[in-house]
Amino acid sequence: MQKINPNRMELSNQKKKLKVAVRGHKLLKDKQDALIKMFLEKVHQVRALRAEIEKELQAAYASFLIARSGMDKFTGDSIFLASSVAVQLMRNLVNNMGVNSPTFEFAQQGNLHAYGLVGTSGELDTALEIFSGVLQKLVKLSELEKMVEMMALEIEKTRRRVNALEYRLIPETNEIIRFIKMKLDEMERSNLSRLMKVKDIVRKE
Amino acid sequence: MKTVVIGDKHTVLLFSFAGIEGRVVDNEQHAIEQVKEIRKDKEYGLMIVTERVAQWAYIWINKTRFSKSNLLIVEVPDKNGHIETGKSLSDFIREAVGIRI
Repeated sequence: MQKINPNRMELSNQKKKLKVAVRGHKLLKDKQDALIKMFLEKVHQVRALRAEIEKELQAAYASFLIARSGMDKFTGDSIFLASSVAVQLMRNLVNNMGVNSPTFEFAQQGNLHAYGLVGTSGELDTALEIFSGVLQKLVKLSELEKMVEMMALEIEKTRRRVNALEYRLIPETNEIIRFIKMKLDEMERSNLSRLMKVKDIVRKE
Repeated sequence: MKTVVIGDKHTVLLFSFAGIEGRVVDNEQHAIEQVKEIRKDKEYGLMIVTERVAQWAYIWINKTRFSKSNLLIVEVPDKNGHIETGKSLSDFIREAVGIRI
């Protein structure tokens, strides 16, 4: 225990400190519970979205490979060079219970099917249609994953704070208050006995 | 903000059709170089990597993920399908919440 002056001023300060620590502990505990609840919700969303995206991507890859196998190398490469689609991302920051995570507004401009019908197959159209839908979801998934990662860090940080208050600061402060009270009581008892002694001496004289 | 995809030729071709800049990598060294280069460039907001690339450059990808960096990283499977890379979502949950689900 650190060096403490056992006086009423210190006792009052320690009591104030304990009150703040208990209040802070309650608030942090509530924050931790709310964060965990939100975290688990987001995790379920991420899992569902990822499964959906992986399934769609596999379908897009399969169609794309079939389409590529039916095209000669020159046509295959040139249609991809002719792509007229432009992607724009606008970033914003959202604050969820003290966790700052970026969100994106995704915009696709241009014609996805900017290639000739000669030399390309319907499979390519299918692949690109599926893929176009996947992109929007991918942006959403990346946002959710980042949020989950940031929340995981925040939960860990909050948990450490809660534990520090619960197992360290609050018991230590309680111990200090008990020590000061004991010392003050002892001082009062010794003072009382001294006064009684003085009174006795005065009476005898 | 710009979006970039790093992966094998097929993945990059498919994404390039949707107007996304792509970088083809075929070995670990190249993958790490590309990831490091994109990390430095503040113009990029979203980096899509294949799971193979994520496996190669996992140190740099994790560094970006667990920092305050605003660059988002998303892993996608390539044409060969899903492979396990680095920390899974369950690992995150175990570390953060302390429960295994």
